[in-house]
Amino acid sequence: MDLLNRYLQAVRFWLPDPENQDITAELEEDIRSQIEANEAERGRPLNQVEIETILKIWGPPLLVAQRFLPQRYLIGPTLFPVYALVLKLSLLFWVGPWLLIWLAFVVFDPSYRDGNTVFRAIQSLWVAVVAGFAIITLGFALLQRHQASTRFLEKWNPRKLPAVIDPNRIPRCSAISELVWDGILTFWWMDALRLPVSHSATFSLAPVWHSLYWPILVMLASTTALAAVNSIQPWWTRPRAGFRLAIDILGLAIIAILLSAGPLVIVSISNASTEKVHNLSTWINVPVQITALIIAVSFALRGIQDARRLYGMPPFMHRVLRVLTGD
Amino acid sequence: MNADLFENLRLELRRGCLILAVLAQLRTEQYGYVLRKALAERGLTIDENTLYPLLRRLEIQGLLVSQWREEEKRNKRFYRLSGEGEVILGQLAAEWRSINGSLNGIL
Repeated sequence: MDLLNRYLQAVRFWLPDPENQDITAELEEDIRSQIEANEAERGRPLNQVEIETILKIWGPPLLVAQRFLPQRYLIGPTLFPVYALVLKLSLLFWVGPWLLIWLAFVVFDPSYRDGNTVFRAIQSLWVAVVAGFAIITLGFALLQRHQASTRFLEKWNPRKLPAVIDPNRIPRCSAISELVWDGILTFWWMDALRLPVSHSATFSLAPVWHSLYWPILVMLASTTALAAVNSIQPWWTRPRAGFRLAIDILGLAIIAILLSAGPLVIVSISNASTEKVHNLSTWINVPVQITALIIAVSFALRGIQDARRLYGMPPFMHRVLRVLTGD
Repeated sequence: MNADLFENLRLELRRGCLILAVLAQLRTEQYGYVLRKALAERGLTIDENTLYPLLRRLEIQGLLVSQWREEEKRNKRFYRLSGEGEVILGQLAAEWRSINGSLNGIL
């Protein structure tokens, strides 16, 4: 019976005090009854293999004990969908931009391509991801422990639920803010191609901007006009979707030309070494190029949505896509 | 895949029925091993890992009472229905008959 005692000891290990003795005594009684019934049937004592077979049918000690334990969660089924959403959002708005910025530095600045720098970057990303994951998980585990999710869910009010999303509806506030912003940008573009000048350093736009003056002006003026129409009639129509698709394509073409032209901002500093000028130029141009890349991605995704609207199909309603396209 | 799905649905269907069967069987005092055999003889098999946690839960809920007693030179834990358990069993049995009647009509 050594095998039986070892089995019961293993089950007892996973059970809490003080019930563990009581539970294992009851299980022992059942197993012994089974063994006796088998022995009576065969007319001889069971050997080790036969006892082992009985214990295998009972199952692994942890699983046997687990059936007696209360169900416990680090993050329960009620809170889990919110936890998963927060993790996805942090991945999108934290790790995503980090990766994008890092990739842009690698693409636009050769000094970021050596092995050590790449290793350090991956190491710091890994630490940031693990730390973020741990902090979010810990926060939700604490919420779960204090059953905050239940209280939060009890407070719900049907009237406070978000309105049904109409894929062709344009939020009026978003159309108006777009109108104001695009208007300011258009006037700035028409008026001057100058950037702030400091006493010691001068920043000017690269020649490629000058050659793209008219295409950029057309794009900005078209966007402003569209935003003006959208703020009066805030819903998408096929002609307007087609018009914005044309703006998206023009925007993509402009950004492609800009990114292939090298530095977009020319830096000149009086009485400064070439290395210092180069470093400052890198630190200014890389963020500008990253911004251009992000805008290009947004144009491309928005173009897909506009093309779908143009052909009478509903736009994709994925949350991430809607955030990235600003729809 | 279909076999797994059927097994999951079968277990779900049986879960509530087992509680009713255990409560009904414990109108007379029995210990775990004998209870399991009695249910199996009536065509309702229940494995050990389901029965003992269920007995504990029902006892905590006040539907069963138990007592350790020596029988055939071994200590055994005997269970029987409590007063509250009898009331609940009556209500559950009525519910079962109602569901059974409705289901027979639907099926």
